Amino acid sequence: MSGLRALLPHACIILSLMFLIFLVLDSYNPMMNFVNNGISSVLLALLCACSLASGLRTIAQARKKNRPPAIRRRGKVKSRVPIP
Amino acid sequence: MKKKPLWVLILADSLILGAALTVFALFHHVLPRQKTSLGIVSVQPSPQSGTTQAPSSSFSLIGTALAEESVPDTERTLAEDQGLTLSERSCLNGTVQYYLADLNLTDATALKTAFAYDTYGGGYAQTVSEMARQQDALLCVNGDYYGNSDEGVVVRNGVIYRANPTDADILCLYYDGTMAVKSYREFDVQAEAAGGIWQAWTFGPSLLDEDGQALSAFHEGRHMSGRNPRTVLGYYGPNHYALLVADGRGRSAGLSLTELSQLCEDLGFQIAYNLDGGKSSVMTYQDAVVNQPAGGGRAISDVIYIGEASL
Repeated sequence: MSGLRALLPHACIILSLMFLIFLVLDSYNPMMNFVNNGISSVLLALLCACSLASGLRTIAQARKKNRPPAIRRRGKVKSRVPIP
Repeated sequence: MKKKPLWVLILADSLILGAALTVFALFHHVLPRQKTSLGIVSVQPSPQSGTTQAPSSSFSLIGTALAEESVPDTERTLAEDQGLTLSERSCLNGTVQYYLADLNLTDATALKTAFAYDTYGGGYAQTVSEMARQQDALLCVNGDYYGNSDEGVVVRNGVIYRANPTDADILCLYYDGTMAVKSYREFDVQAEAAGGIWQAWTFGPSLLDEDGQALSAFHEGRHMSGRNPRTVLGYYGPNHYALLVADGRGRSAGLSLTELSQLCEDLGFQIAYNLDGGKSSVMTYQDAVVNQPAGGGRAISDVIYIGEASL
């Protein structure tokens, strides 16, 4: 799972670069249809999925980092105040 | 886990990117794959009494008349056959070399097309010379490279193979020898089949307006408008066509779409349609390459030709 998480940003970078290259090629030779074909559609869906997962993970990490320590540890440590 | 150096990550990503692009190219346009054809056969109108339409077994080229046109910078006739005049010309003060085949046919079905390896599909590609030899072509030029895309309309020798949406102009040739440029919205498959469509190409743009006048702006901006080698199918009138190949990217400078449009108007075309250009622009006559293809030409998916048997 951690390996997959580490791969997500790389997948985003690679897929984004692929699409940038397709766009440049498409501007030079639109009849080759680099952007709007079946394979590109699948790659675009993959890019969206990777970006979504990567974005959600980043937000979750940021929220976790910004939480107060007591809330962060809730459920894992016992309350310091003894219950009467 | 030990952190990898940044250069290792960049190198790994670059290698994976290269591999991914290679795999994409293989599946996009390199590996041959057959495509499913609509398989709709166009209806050839039955010959009417008093018309000049010939039966398909006796198509022939007649006459040698060139259409009325302005005088080019230079002109040299390379070949004259029954109904076919091939000339080498220059324009734009001799900076552009082009070849014009004037075709005066008795029947539009003498203007044939062929697929690479006689197979409708993507990734099948042969040079124009190879296809010309296979088809016993007298004169042969590149087509619209239909195999590069799944968009648009493909009608070849009376069979409708594909009719997918496109924003490009579609050139239609009918059994009765007439030509028309249509948009996809105007192209109704059943109506076209019943109306006797013989060929249709999707590339474009159309280079002239309805009155045969040059354009300065072209339908859709998705075209290479700079100076390049060009191939054009021109229409003077029923059964009278022209195939034009302009050289570029070498001794000859090539033509921009605007210059090409003006040239087509000067040559007197009523309809002019831009086909695949660049390295694809090749013309052969009797198995010999007539022009100087950019980069030596390349393998393509389809050609337009006049058969030896037509003479």
